[in-house]
Amino acid sequence: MKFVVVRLAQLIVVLLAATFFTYSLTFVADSPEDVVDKLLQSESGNETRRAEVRRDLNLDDPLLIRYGKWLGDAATGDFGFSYNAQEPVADRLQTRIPRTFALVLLSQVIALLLAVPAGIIAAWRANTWVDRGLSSTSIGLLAIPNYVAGLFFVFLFALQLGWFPSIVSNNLNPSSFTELAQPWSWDLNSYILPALALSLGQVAVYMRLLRTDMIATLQEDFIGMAKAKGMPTRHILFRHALRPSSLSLVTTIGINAGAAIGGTVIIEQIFGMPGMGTMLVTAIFSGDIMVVQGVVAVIAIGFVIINFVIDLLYAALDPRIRSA
Amino acid sequence: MPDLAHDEAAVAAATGADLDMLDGDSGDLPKRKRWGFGFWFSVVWTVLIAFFSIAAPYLPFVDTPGTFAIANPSKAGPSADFWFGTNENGDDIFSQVVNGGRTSMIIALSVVFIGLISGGIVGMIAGFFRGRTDRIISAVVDTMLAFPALVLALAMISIFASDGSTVRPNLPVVIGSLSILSVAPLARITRGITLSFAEREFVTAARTLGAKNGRIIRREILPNLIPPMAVFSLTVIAVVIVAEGALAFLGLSVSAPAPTWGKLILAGRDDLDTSPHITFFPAGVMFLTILSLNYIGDVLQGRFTVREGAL
Repeated sequence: MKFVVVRLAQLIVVLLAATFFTYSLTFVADSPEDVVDKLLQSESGNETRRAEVRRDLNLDDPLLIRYGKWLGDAATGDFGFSYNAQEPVADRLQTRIPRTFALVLLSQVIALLLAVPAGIIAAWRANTWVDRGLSSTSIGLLAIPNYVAGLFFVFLFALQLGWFPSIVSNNLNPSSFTELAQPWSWDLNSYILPALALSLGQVAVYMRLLRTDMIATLQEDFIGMAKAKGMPTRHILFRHALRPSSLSLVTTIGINAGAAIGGTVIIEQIFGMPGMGTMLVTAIFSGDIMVVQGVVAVIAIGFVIINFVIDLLYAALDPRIRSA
Repeated sequence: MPDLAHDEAAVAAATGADLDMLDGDSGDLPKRKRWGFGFWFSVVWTVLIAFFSIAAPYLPFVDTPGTFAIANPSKAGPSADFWFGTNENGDDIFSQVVNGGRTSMIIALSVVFIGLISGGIVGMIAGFFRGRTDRIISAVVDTMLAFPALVLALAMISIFASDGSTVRPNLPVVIGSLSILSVAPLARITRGITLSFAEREFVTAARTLGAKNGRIIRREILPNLIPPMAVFSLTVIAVVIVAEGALAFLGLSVSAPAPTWGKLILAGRDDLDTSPHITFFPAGVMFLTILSLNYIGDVLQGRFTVREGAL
């Protein structure tokens, strides 16, 4: 239990650091007057509007107080107002979050589905041509940036073979978590290529980790015991060896999910997918700082939640941690 | 019949020999470890890229960026005149890849340099003095490592390169923002290596002879840090090349005219169906470069037995 509490505290520090970093950056680069200019654009001559924005963003308070107020609002789900889109940031986030979440989740599922069997086979057949082939493949996979993979999949599976759509169709995205839970109501098919592109590098990471741990596990006495009892190989590998070998894999899922969230920004752009990444990029180009802060905050929160869940899972997998 | 027993020896050997996968000779474990084909290929490729990046402006078969190319055929496939074909403006893609590699390398090396200096100093202080200093530095570094750095780099670019209506990042902004990717990993790895050297006999000996901390760091620790740090930097260079490409995809890399690999890959996106060579030649060069850097890094790290996991 103590382990979980300590980790949660660490994760909250990460959350605060990331949001404060983004928040303060805006005001390191620009004076409050510049910020108002950027936000109002053509209207920046209008003094009443300027006063409104100043009040809205608490620009007359010192930085720390302002950040505190922003954080307090964010905690209640209020991420401010997007002057570019003329709507509350939270409204748009609400429809975008399920899409990016779906993409990250799908990519992790694909990565694990490919990596776990590959890792087990590589460890079981360690140092044979199978293992060498799989390891070489993983070195190759690690050298393919996700955007190159994305373009390649578009070229091969969408344009040449026509198996999947090359873009994520605009009207068929899940706009809430309720819709997300009903995959038939949105276009799951068009999410497969982006998720695959995102998962490629992670397949290699997971496979290598599992292989190393599995090789160590297979040398343990209890495996020899299971073998001596005449248990089928598949049973030994999946039932006995997989669980104790999966600990370092599980711990890195959190970090990798973080990398995947970063990757969605680019992958969404390639597949024209209206998720959080697209929202972030649009906001960056239009100088919509409230949206940038909102998206970074949501990514940070998502990151913290994922890592916390992973920690709980870790405790469930390893009884030694639970009792400690 | 597959069974586990006959793999016992292989399993035992695997833990020591898993880095020679591409060599093809790890199965029978040669007495003296050879570098192997994969390693030499990677070295030759890396040297080639380095040579082209440095010599780009002086090579006769490399067009200078922005050359008037209207006389060339548009979107032509690879040929003797245009080794990688041409793009829609008739620019020779080979020349662009060479020039783009130059920009990408300048960015990557600058970012790694910044990371080595700042991360290196911080990591060395943490590893050498330990105690509270180490705890504070480690906490900051762990926090930085925990968050997807690309998102923060994007946030930095959005603020430092935007005037409200357009975003035009210049070289220093791109380098500065990407440095967020290199500082924390290099700080952590320096700390780990310093930690392992700070307890060694030669350091104790120097201290017994009356050497001050500054001298010990300069004369005893630093020379030992350089080889493993140089090796780890190869991996970081690869990471930065990929990250620059990611920025280019979002239109947030160095603004025109300088091409980068990322921008070249992106340029062919709309013609993927009809002229895939525009995208896949630069992408292939980038792939081989990252592969080579990672592989050299992997092999040399195995030789120096410096692995992040062991730190």
